[in-house]
Amino acid sequence: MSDLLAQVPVTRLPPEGHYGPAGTEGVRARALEGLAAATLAARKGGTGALIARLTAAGLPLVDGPKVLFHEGLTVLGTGPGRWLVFAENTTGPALLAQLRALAGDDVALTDQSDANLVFELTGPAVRDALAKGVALDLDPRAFAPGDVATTVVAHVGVTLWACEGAPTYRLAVARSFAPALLRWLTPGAAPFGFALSGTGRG
Amino acid sequence: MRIPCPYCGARDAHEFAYLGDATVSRPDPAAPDAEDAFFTYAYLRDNPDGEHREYWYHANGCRQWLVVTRNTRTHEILGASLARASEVTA
Ligand SMILES: [Zn+2]
Repeated sequence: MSDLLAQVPVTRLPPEGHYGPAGTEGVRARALEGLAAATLAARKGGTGALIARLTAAGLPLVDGPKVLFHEGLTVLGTGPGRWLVFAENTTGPALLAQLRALAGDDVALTDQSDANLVFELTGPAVRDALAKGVALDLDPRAFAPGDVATTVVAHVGVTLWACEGAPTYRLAVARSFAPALLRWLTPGAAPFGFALSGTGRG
Repeated sequence: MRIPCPYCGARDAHEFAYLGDATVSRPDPAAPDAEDAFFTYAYLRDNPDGEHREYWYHANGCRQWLVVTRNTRTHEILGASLARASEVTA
């Protein structure tokens, strides 16, 4: 497999296309375009009040590694009193304004829109491919839709969450580490047939 | 070796960074014996046989400091808690 990406510069994402045996699609990965992102962190001692305020606003935050979906927002628990929020079809400043209106002045909000790339991973062999580098039990009995894990894959930090639907995961990775992560994923997923999209010509 | 992070769940030790003894606490710098107390605090460590409480940082997870109880003889992990008390019980 070492020559699979031989023509791809190490600094670039592997180009979209099909890798591995023709006619099989065991794993599909798609880079999601145009997401805005922000971190939301409670001030010291303010986690309970923040959760109460957002719950009253219809966003029942959980202080744990869980994902919530609310009016186009994806809210991921990444640490005590801390969440990473993604939103589609908006901008970082607009997301910050939306979160500020929801959470009030007494929280730390930081635009992370250019910090991460998010990939959606699916397909019948997605767990077999992820098992090559994710040291977590991804069986739905242990990691069900709604669960989030911040962990490390091939020395690269990722936040991974399980989505509804036959096995589907999303994964956020620091943008500049994404080429390294996809150089791990592509040869690992290729034996199952790997369809990569959203990375353009790499 | 797996460490049961109170936030993340059981994780492999390679996600964590080890700091060391969680049983020592920083002396009062204004105390008359502060110099000796700081020497002891900074440099002197016991080498316990059996259960030991130590700091581990979950660098590749929730980025929290944990206090882990580990048996130094068997490496059995007997428990872990957030070094900073949780503000909310989830
Ligand atoms: Zn943790």
